Amino acid sequence: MAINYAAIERGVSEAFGNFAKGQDAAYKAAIADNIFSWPNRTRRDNGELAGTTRNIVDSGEFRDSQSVQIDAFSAVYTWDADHAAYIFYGYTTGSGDKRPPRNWIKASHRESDPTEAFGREMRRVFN
Amino acid sequence: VSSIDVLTLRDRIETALSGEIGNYVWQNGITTPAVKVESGIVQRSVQPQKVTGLEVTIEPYTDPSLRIYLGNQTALDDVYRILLKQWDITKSVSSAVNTLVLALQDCLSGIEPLLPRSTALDSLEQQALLIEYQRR
Repeated sequence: MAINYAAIERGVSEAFGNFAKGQDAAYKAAIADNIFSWPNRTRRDNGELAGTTRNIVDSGEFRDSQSVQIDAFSAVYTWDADHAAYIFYGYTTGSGDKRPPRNWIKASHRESDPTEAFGREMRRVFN
Repeated sequence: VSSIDVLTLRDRIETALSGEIGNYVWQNGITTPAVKVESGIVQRSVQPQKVTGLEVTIEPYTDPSLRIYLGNQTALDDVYRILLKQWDITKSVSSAVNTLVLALQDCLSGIEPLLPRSTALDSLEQQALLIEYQRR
């Protein structure tokens, strides 16, 4: 029996590409989920009164700064809004108020395990 | 994975940064070095009235993970996050970070990016170092 390595490589790459696109959507969905803790209620720039459990969408600049570079076997996700790192790591204001970290990547992975998601795409391609 | 305990870690940080650590100023006027261990689990009832200079916060329970071995033995790993914040807007955390990278090189496992002071967010400059360890 001959093994067609090129076909396997193409199939894995196709599954990975589909998976990576799915993750792109999953990270955006996590950012828009009302799951992130905040110490108090605040009025956002967009006029919305945000509660102590909220999403990370205010002006939309951060959410819309997400991009992904997908190659044959790698995907790099980038959030290049100026304040993205402050959202991810949290920070303290000059008056001592703490802004908690909001890790949307971990939140997304809790919602849907990426290893399982990749497995689903592999089965879809090779079945 | 390191097995360093939090009090040893705190001592090593205080020794390494002896000349650079800022102060907590308390209600009764007493000042103490601005170093604390904060679990995030128990809310501190007393807070300093003011913080000056470089503040160091050791967060012991940041990223827990469980390892299960054959025979059902388990190990609970976690991460110390050593967060440096600079309350003095004329100074930076960078020299303290350099000092700690050298002083903790035997157990250091990661570093977060420097977050500069942002006037838009009214945020302090900060950077954190990470040490993986086994919880006991």
